Amino acid sequence: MSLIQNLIRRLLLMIPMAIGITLLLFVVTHIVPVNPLAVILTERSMDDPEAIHAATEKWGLDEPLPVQYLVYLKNLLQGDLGTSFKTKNPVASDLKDFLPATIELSICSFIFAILLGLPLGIISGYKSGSFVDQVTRIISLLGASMPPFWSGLLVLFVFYYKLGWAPGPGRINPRIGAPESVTGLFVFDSLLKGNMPAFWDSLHHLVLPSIILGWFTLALISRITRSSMLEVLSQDYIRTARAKGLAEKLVILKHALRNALIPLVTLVGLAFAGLMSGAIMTETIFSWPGIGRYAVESAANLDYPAITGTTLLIAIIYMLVNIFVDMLYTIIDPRIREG
Amino acid sequence: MTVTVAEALPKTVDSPIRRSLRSLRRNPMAMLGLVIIVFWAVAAIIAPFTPMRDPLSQTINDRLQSPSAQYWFGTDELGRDVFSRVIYGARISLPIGFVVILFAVMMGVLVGASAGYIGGTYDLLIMRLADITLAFPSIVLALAIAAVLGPSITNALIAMVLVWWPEYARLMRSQVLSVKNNEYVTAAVALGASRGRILMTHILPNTFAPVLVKASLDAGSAILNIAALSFIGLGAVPPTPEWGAMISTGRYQFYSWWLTTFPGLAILMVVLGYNFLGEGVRDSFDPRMT
Repeated sequence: MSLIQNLIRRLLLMIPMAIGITLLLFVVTHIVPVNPLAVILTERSMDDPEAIHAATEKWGLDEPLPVQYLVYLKNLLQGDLGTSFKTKNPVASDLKDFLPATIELSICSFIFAILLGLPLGIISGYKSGSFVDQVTRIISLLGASMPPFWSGLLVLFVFYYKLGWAPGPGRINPRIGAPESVTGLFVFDSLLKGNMPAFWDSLHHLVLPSIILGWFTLALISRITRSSMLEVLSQDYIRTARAKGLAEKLVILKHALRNALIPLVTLVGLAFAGLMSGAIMTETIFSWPGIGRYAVESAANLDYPAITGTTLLIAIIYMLVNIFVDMLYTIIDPRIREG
Repeated sequence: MTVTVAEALPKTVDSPIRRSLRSLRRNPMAMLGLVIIVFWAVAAIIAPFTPMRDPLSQTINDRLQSPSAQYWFGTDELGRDVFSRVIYGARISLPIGFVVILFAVMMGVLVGASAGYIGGTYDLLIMRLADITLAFPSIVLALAIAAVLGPSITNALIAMVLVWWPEYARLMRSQVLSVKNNEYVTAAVALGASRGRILMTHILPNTFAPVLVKASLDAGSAILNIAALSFIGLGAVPPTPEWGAMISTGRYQFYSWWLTTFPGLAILMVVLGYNFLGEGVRDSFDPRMT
């Protein structure tokens, strides 16, 4: 089967999955008997008979549950995720506002995790048992065992409160103000507009949350690289490469590393799930206005439309990431493509 | 001299389980993990019988005291002893983490094994439900479920089990599928054993290792996630001394660093303990997974 055919098949298979996901979310939000109007309307419009009538009509609330689900699905297809009762905005537009902050933070933490995790993994695989290997082991153990909401507070305490090296929570110093929005990524936007103070300040604000969020991914990357490196180095073709007198550097970089990196690709899906779970905690601690914090706040305020909207968005992105990973894997590893 | 066959054989047959347990006992990291967990379990059990202060009693005059000989871990904003709150916190986190995994395993094993064994439409429906649940990063769905159910530690537990069982169901199903075509199962069928009996006595015991390995690796995450839900305000409610909730109330009070430092260290220690033990169990019971 060709790559394109496979991709189309996977994307088509997403449709029943997406319907299943909406059904699950609908069931979850309807098991508890609350007055749905209280969920949809703001407090003030609860006294307004006209608003009640309009909402009942729009969401089909006088219909039986299966019909209500179909109405929900129909609204969803038109991009209507309902209205958040905390922010009073349509959930879809809220998500559009909050998503860039999460994307910016995720990209930075991923860069941090790869820049540090890859070399650490390679060295500890090449020299297993060495000092670097031990340190890497401790770093990755901590990454998997520390609650991010605590490690976040810890680094804020040390680098913001005690040493004053890093800025406090938030995305940018309010006195500098957010750069004019193009993509919503502050670092990118401020660079685009030549707003250097905003560029440096938003970059500065990114450092601590990126480290905390990236730590889990770092642990994942360094461990997989290490074990993959160990396995590849014991292969016959490595011995052959050495036997024919190739420089050790070339053996490692050209023969071992290229093959050792293949399993890393499968990790991206797992890393994404980790990033999303971590973003929920990290964004809360660093007052980062992204969808993780939006999800937490809507959960704490029992803001159902916002919760279901955010959860749905994350699940859809997660599915797309997994398809992308599978495709990438087929492209990189010819054994799968031709096998 | 003649020797009978029975005499020539070793006295005891070394079962694989016994062999695995022996290698676990010889693994220093795993034993360190076990010691940490036992230490916290003992502390949690004996806490009420020690002269430790009541974790809920407030001494208003001693609010926000830094750690001292009198208050080892200081006091919080209501003058409660942080040390006894941290120790009593183990009475919540330790059993909850265990129960989440236990229920998720039981539900997953039951559902997954029956799906793999029965097959057909039942299998299809169950596995699609599992797929859908696994389409969410687990904490995200748990957040939504816990929010709908309302904040309480029991609801957080239910939410965690609901998002976690599919992983075990999937694992169990694939195990059953690979075991059920073995010759000893065919033999049992030929002998006229009932389906339930075959599943319980011939199939399940032979699928046990991977489930045990996964469960012991997951225990630490369960504790982390419960603490996370409490931190957000969807788990334990005040004044319950729960580690995640304690960190939540103490956040940004950088001057009173002891409010968050000690509960965090407690979480770190317990989760590290579980991860050490979990990796040891994996190395001993399933060498292929290393």
